[in-house]
Amino acid sequence: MTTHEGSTTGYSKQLPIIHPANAGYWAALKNHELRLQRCSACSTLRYPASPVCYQCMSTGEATWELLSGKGTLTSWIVVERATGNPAWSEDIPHVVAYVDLDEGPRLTTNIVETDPYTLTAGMRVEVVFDDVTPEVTLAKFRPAS
Amino acid sequence: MPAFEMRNQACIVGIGTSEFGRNLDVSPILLQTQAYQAALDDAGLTRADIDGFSTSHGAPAGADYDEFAMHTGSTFRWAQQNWTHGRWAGSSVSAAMFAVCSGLANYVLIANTQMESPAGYRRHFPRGEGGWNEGLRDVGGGQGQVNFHGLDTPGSATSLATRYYMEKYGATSEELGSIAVSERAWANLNPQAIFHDRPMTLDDYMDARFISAPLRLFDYCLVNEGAQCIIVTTAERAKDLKKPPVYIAGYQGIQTSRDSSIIFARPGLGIGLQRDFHYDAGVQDVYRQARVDQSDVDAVYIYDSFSPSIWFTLERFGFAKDGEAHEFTQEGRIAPGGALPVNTSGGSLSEAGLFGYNSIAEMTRQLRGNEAGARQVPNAEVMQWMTPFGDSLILTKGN
Repeated sequence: MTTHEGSTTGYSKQLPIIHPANAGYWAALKNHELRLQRCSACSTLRYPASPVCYQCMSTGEATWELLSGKGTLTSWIVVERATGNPAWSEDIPHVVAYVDLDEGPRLTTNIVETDPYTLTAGMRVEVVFDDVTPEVTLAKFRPAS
Repeated sequence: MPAFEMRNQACIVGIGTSEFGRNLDVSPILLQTQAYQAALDDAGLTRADIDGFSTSHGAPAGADYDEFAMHTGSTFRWAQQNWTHGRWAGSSVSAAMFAVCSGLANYVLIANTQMESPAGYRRHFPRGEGGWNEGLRDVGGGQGQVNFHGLDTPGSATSLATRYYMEKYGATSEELGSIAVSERAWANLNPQAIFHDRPMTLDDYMDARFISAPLRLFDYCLVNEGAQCIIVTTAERAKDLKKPPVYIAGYQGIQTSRDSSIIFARPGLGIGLQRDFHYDAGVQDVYRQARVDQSDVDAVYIYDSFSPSIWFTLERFGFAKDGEAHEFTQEGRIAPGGALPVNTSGGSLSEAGLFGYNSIAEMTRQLRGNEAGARQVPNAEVMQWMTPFGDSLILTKGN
């Protein structure tokens, strides 16, 4: 199952390639849940999605654990020029950020619903689900309520 | 004792550049051939002497090893080609060193071409998919690219690391700007630099637009066309050639682990997937190989696709302690006339974006002693190439 082209939906930014190793992540987001793999062999919570545990190198079972969706802003950039995919121009200025989830892993994500130039390190944030196409939902974050 | 001691076994004996420019409408084969011929002339060699080839930039940025041999009528009995990406300059030189020292080749041509204009193969790669190297990955990797969240350039990832560094250590935008200003001052002394005729003040830097805040326009390397060739042979053969040999005294390779994400940040910073820990450079292999330490180094050359790489790399190799490079680089220390010259050709920021091959050529000019004009570092004997990825070369006059 591949969703790489958003042209039929009018969404022109790059979309993730969904395949067996990460399908659980994308299926959960589609249900508006944030889930990451927990290794059944050593209990390490894994990011990004992978067929192998970076801690114990197990390629065995991992469960898709439901997370709180709460976290802390670690670092961020304010993109003022879309030097990669020009489709991001419509969102400028937009924020790409690292959010440290309360459960541990650090996600690459976007901060939305706030002024990009008012962000501060250590800010509390919470997940919001952005259904960008019928198949793909992205996990983004906003300041915690 | 290792079975092979690399110190002073191989030398750089020829360097050659093509024209540098932006949006040049010429083929990468032509640019690389210009640089090849210039390097042959510089060394006093002919095409028939060159029997080895090493590159990292094949298509779509440059020319693939086999295509280049075909067009130029060259015969290589040993060839290797790394990933078409930045970061492999030191590795390409080291591969040549190992080849000549083992007798697999007598004279190796190291060639690198950067072609951004549609005259090269990039015409086949429309913008928008986040690049053709790490942009095609499924989350993860050194640059930390995650295209579907708009983290789709290496500069964006570096900017994330830079914000974190600035917050963690109290570094300022003005301190960051001094790096680009310093490299520009060097470029103003280098007639071959693309920005030779464009002086820049700190105000100019601060007034330029943000690309990806906190990084501004002049924190980014030049995007251009150009080719650089370097010829390596054994120390024995080097003695009979035209120019004074420049010795490869030490080398260490690219290092990688989860602590190398983001690759442009030094380990321990705590960005990307890195752990956050106190970083101590210790004694790096390259110094052990070359039998020198940081205090012996007359100038350093750093992979500077983005200006904060200067901070990260100086800390990685122990020129500054962790969190202190933003202060270490002030007061003109790295600029012309400073105590530790950095990127004396103007580097990728102001000479040409050639992934460091141009810096290795500049080290060669400096160590020959009479080819660097107004930017000559007095009494230069030991120079070091180093990258935020952990690899390094030390070149010397051979003493």
